Amino acid sequence: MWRKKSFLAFASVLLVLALFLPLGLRLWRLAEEERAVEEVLAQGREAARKLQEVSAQEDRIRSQLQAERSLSAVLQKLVAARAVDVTLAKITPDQLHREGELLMLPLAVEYLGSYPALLETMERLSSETAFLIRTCSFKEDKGSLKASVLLWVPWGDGP
Amino acid sequence: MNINLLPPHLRQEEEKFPWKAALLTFALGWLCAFLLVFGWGQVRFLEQRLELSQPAKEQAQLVLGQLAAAEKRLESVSRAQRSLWAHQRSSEAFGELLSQLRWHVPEDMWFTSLEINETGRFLLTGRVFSLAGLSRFLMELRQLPQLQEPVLQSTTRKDAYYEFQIEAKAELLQAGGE
Repeated sequence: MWRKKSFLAFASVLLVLALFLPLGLRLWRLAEEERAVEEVLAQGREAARKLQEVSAQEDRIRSQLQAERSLSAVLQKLVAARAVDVTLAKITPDQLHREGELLMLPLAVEYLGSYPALLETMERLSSETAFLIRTCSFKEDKGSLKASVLLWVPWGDGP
Repeated sequence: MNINLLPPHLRQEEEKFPWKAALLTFALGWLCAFLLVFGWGQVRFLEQRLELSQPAKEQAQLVLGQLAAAEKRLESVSRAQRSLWAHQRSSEAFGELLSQLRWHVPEDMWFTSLEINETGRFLLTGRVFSLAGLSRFLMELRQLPQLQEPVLQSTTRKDAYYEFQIEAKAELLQAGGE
C-alpha cells in the first residue's frame, strides 16, 4: 500500500517537473534576451547623446580648419600681407599633396622690396593662419632685393 | 451499530476516505494549473514585448554604428587640427625669428642673402663696416631661442667693408612636423 503511494507521489513530482521545466527554461531565456535588449537600448540612448556631442565637436574643429578653396582668395591674402613698397613678383602653385590628414597646396612666392619691408611681409605672412611658411630666402638681384618663400596653403575640405 | 468482536490483530478496519490528502492534491493541482497558465501567459507577454522592442533595438544599433563612424571622423579631424597647429606654430616661430633679425641688425650692417630651408639650415650673408658690429650681432644671434649655435663661417675684407657668412640651425621647422 505504502509502496504504491510513494510511487504515485514520485510520479506526480516527475510530472510537475516535466510540466514546469520547459516553462522555466523558456522564461529564463526570454529574461536573458530582454536584459540584452535593455542593455542595447541603454547603449543606444547613451550613444545618441554622445553622438550629438561628437558631431558638435567635429563641426567646431572643421570650422576652425577652414581651408582655402580658391586661388583668388589666396592671392588676395598674399597681396594684403605686403608691407609698404613691396611688390608681389611671382606666384607658382605646385601640385596638391597630402601632409598627414591635411591637403596642402605648395606655393612658391616672390616679393621684391627692401630688407625691412620684406621681413615685415614675412612676419605678416607667418601670422596669417592660411599660410604656413616652409622655406624663405632673400637674395640681392641686380640692385633689388628678392624674397622667395615656399608656402603651404591648407586646401579643400580637410579630412 | 456494529461491534467487532474479533481480537485486535485480526480486525480489518474499514478504510476511510482520505479527505485531507484529496484536498491537498486538489489544491496542488489547481495551483500547478494556475502557475502553468500564468507562466505561459508571461512567456507570450515577454515574446510580444521583445518583438515590439525590435525596431527600437535596430535603431539603437544604428545609432551605435553612427557614433562609431562619427568618433572615427572626429579622430581624423582632430589629427588634422593637431597637425595644422604644429605647422602654424612652426610658421609663427619662423615669423618670430625673422622679426628678431629685423630688430637686431646694427646700423652699419646690411644683408645680401638669407636662406632658411626645410631642413632648418639658416644661412645669412651680409656686409658690415666694422668687425665689432659683426661680433655684437653674432652675440645677439646666440640669444635667439630659435637658432642653435650660430657660427661665423667666413669674413672677407673688401674695400670699405667686410663680407660675412653666418650659418646656424633653425629649430622651428623640425618642430612643425607631425
